[in-house]
Amino acid sequence: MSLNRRSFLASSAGATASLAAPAVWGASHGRPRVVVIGGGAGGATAARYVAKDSDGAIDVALVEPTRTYYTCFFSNLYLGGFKEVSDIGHSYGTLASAHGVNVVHDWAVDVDRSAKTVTLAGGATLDYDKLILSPGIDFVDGSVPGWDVSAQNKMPHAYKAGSQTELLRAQLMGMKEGGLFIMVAPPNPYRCPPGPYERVSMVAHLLKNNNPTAKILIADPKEKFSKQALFEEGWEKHYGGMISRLGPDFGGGNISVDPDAMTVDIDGQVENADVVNVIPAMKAGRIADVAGVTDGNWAPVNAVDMSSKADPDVHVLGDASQQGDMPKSGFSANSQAKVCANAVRGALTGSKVFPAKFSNTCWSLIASNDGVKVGATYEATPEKIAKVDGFISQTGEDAALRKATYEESEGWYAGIAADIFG
Amino acid sequence: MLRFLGVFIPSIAAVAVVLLSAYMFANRLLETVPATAAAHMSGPTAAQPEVAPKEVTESVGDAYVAANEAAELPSGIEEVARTTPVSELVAAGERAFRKCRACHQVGEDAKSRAGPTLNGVVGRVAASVSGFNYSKAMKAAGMRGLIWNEEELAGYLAKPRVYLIGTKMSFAGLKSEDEIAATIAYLKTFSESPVGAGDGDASGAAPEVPLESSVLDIEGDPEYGEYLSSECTTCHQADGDDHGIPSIVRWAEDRFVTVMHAYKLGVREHPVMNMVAGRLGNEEIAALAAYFAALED
Repeated sequence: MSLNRRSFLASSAGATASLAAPAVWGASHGRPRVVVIGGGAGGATAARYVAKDSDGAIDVALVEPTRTYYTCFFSNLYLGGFKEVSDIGHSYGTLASAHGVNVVHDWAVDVDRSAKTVTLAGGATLDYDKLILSPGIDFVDGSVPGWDVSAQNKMPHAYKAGSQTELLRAQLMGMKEGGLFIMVAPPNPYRCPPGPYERVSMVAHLLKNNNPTAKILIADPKEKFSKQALFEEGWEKHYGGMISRLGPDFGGGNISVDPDAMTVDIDGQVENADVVNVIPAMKAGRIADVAGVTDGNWAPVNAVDMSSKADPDVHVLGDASQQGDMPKSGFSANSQAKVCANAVRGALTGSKVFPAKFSNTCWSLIASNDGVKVGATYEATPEKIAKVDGFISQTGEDAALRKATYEESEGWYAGIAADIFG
Repeated sequence: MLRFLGVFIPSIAAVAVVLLSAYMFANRLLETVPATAAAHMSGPTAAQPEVAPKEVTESVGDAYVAANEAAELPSGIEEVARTTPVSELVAAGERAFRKCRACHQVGEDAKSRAGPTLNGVVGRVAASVSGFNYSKAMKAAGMRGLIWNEEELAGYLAKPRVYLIGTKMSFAGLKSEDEIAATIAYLKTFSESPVGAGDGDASGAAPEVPLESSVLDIEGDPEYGEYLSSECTTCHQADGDDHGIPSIVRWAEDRFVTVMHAYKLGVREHPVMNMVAGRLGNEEIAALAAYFAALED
């Protein structure tokens, strides 16, 4: 997209606002204000679409603590050695310069829904007409006994991409010959249903080349998992004998860990491990709870516009939301963000609101050029986001199709990254 | 600004490549084309033997303008094809093809040279000769399902660079309808039972669907298309980049509509596209076609 007058004006507006710090909002008298908390696939997309499509009629602030966002999607491909960490890092520069989004690198620590304000860790307060929460996930305390965030350097979760992902890869690279990697898989619902199993595939790929006598053990509280037949077929084909999985029948749901001793207790049997990846149970990012829009672990929303069931002026996107049938994925969050942005613009500026429509596709890589995918489309019903139609890759597909599927996933990554970050 | 330059610099490079290939083409003609054919050669490039690159540039530019000014596509081609005996047409086509021979081979042992071999060209998908380095524009046309049927060939041969903006074929076009009809008739003799194994394989021809004109004629609402397009741009990049996933911007609207209906009906197979298109109504497909056709670079 070339620079045009509209985006130049938008960027000037953004620059003015940032020069006027510490007041986050510049001289934007009378323009409606949207605050977005969380700069991932949901929040950054929502900020971009509201700003881009409202043509300067709405002031948009995006609150995100990190300067560089590392996508969880494709982070497993970094573990497998297919991507560099820089390939999955994105800055917020284009959102600010091309669309005039006021990007605030700070933590949101409080939301006052009656005063319609957001308080930042740095002390500033933002007022809003519409608040969009897209905080992703946090972990449920105590879900894996023996593990908490203070243990994350000994037993990384690597389920928020970035330094944790780099740490896990470093540990795998340094693992002793013939060592044991244990993954403690999460219970439903969690971010990226095929994610843990794609990760196992990528770890197996890495070890097959570097440390072929190493073993992988998955302790899994779930009876079954996403794309199970496809993964199991691929594991047998590419990594025969390397990967074992203990489901709940074999004690996979009764786990505790000792990070200092580097042991995992599986239903009373203590295993000595060399690298342990603990993926705990998940809940909505904390700010959703602070804002009082959660019910249990997640934030229930209305399917038609992703508005909170607790507050029509608060919208919740992506992993943190409880919306119905969509999996928690970057693709889903991006899809929900566009529906939300359309509704928010309509409410604030009277622009036309089109019917909600959602879709999701998740690609996973099992081995070099062996990609698979699952996808579905969804509609808004009064009760929930409901699945309409879907598809999944088949077992026994030929190598050419699997290669094409992988190449398609690379195209999708480029596409969605541009759609999220500009 | 960097993004802006990023778009701009490749465009300069693309123009330079076109101009350079035009210059090389002109020189090649002088070496290889028989004098009689050179005399018939449309455009001034061949008529100026000792031209410097700059002059070639200008003359190519003139030819381009001239082609643009000749407003309508040849309309009498069908007439010519109907009223002339096939053998006469083919013979005339063989003569006309001399203009193409500098770059294209056809027949037994034909190989791709500056242009792809034309065995089997009639009825095949654009940009489908394996190993030939097509322009990005031609590849994109192939991706979106352009098939070299007689109608498309006639349009292309009349004004290649207007009909398919970005083509590497630096040829101003065949001037007369007679020549176009004859050339197509000649090429067809190498197409219905292709000569030369491996080339001109029409098995990859994109399936098309017959659509009622009432469906094709729906005027799409670009505003609705813009909203709906957000579902597409999760994978297909709005700036037309086509790494891994085809570009869908700036297609002719009727082709966009046809291809989407082909996915909707399952005539074209791709699980994501079948699913996405399956949920789109006729109005929605028309809206998307209108929006993406008008999208600026």
